[in-house]
Amino acid sequence: MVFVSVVFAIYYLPWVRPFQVQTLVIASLFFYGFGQPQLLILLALAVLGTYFILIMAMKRRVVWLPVGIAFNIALLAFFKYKFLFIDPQAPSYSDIGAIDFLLKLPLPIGISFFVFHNISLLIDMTKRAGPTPSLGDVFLYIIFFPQLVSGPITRAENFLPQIAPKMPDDVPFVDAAKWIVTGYFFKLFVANNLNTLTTNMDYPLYQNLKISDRWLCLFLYSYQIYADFFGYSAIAIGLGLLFGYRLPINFNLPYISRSFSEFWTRWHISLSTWLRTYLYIPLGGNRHGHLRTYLNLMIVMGLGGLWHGAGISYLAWGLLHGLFLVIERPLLPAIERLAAVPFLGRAVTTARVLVVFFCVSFAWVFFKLPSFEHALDYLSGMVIDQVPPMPAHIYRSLALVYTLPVLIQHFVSAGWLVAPRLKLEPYLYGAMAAVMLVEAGPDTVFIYFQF
Amino acid sequence: MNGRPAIIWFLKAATVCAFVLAICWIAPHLIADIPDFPPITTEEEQFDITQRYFKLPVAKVALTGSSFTRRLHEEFFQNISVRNFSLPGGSPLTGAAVIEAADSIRPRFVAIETNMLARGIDQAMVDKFRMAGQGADPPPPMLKPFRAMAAAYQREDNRLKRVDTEDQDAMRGERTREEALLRRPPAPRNDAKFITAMLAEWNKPNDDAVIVKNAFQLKRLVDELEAKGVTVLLYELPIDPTLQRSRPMVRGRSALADAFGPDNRRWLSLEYPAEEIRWDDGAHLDDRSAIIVARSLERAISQKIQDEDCGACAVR
Repeated sequence: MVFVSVVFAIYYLPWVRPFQVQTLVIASLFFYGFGQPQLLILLALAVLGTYFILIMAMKRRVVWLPVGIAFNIALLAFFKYKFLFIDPQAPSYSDIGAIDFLLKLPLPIGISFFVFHNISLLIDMTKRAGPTPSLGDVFLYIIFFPQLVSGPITRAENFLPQIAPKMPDDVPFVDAAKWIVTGYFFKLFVANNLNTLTTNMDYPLYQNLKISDRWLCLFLYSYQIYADFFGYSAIAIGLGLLFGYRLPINFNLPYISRSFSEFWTRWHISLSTWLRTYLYIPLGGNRHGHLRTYLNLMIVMGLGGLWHGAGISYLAWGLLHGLFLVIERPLLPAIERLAAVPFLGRAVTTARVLVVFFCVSFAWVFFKLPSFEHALDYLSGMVIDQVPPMPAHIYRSLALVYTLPVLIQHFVSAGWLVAPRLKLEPYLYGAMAAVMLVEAGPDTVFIYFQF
Repeated sequence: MNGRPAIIWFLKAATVCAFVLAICWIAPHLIADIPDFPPITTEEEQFDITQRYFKLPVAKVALTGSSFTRRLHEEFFQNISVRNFSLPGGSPLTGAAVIEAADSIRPRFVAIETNMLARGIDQAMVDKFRMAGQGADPPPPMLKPFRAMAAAYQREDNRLKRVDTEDQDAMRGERTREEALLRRPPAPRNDAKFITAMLAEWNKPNDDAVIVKNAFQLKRLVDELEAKGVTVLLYELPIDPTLQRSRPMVRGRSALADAFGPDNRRWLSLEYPAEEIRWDDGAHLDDRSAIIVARSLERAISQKIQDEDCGACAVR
């Protein structure tokens, strides 16, 4: 927060106003390069390369747009998947210094996100008539620090029009504070504390879990990953507001989804929107019959899984979600009719929400245990009772305390006690801020930083 | 919302935040024994154990060790006052080093486990409690209200909650429980495939150099403790016979022989029915076996105490 405070103070100085974009770009470069300065060159190359291609594509889209997309996909593929082909522990890979340097570079933080921003920029800007955005604006769009590392993935056509001089009087301080406090609360109090329980899912610790605890931990991890990612996105939105930019909402109560297609309109909304806009629809979407639609869904979700990481587990996660969508699709009309039946409606809706939550949680195992073998081993232990030699103790009361905020957020109606809530709002946020400080769980990195 | 309404909003939020923080800071100073769960991280657990060691009266004998010795609960020792200062996930050397550094909590006897020599002294822990030994207690942590409420609700025994060895009724209940446990037959042996897998895990890292270094460091610590009037005893806890042949165990024994030479006076000879001993995982004693081994350790320590007292009487 020291960094944000300093940048904020400088950003709104009257003499800095003509250079606000440049100020944010420099701050973002500093933010990204702090700790891993060697990756700044990569980031700069990615942005400059994309910008050069953008200029060319504005003149000849047919030729240069595919080049730009290929350039960015190659960048992503190289860094994300190179360790599938080379040994990460090897002291040297090549006699050629530059190649050896590149092969040794760690996975750049946020590469999955800024590559998607680059592609969105190329496609959105070249499909409309108009001037090429300036290099400064493009840099800001791609590396704006609140969203650089883990999104939300913002579409260029939504972000670039917001670039304009910003005044401190226009900053929605209360809204920004609410987003930031909420984000930190979910990250520090909910996610970090739940992590102390779900750490029992890691290998080899999960071998000490009884069957009931394996199930419990599975659901706790669902809440943890939501709280962690929602927390980050909320902080990003709040920080964006401080600097005059509205970033897209990334989560909308995903665990009340009544179908898998609905789930993907509520979970990581910016990613699912990106995949739909730039992959699913260009593949044909649902315009070419059922079989082609199913194929498109499997391709998109499979690639969505691989976007998260290089491994069979991530692919399995993506394909599982594809399978859920494919299986559900022909059944949805009948389910909707059943839900409309007067006496059955509520029961059907509840069952739908539970089924979706259960299946989504099941799939999260492949996220928690990136080794496919360990993931399968964990899942098998959820149905085959094994007597662990030293059973771990998972306190149900603690699990309830840390999942309550997620449950309250999801299941307490937005229209319930509106007037009293508005009156009590500042006090509630003050209390949340205090609680997150005293009851913060042990520090853990945001889960989505690894992508 | 901007301007004056925003300022009022922030003032209200900040007031409540400050109020809650103040309550959480004051409460531990006013309320003793705020309910809490067992520590979750290894560091928390070690800190708790060390803090407890400083808070309670000094016992005649302190045991230092790792999670292996942690299984020997204080209430298993019937005839001598013992403080179990072993650190799960830690090193026997750390406990011994803390005792050496802090004058106020030095017992007459220190018995050091020698099973785990792959871990060295946690100097940060020693430095933190060096000051505590001089009366500068670390401040109590802030109240965690929701965690405390959950802990208060939780009815199961805290696994670090020890029987109060000063409470005669509690000790009688404990004796009854122990005798009942001893009357039961030993648990089934660990699965051979599991033990083989554990042996492979234990043999993987090459900690030979570290083990040798720690063995000699242990010797230096022992010399320093003895120079300050503490009688130091050494013991090795039983582990699964297959794991006895593991690299760290074999290396540890030879390193100790090199460090301490042929002088056996410190070594405690534990006598127990080996066929009765079982482990939860091949290395950590199950409850029944821990009682058996604790009593055997107690007999061996008692003999050493008697020998020393008799030696002192003879001198007088």
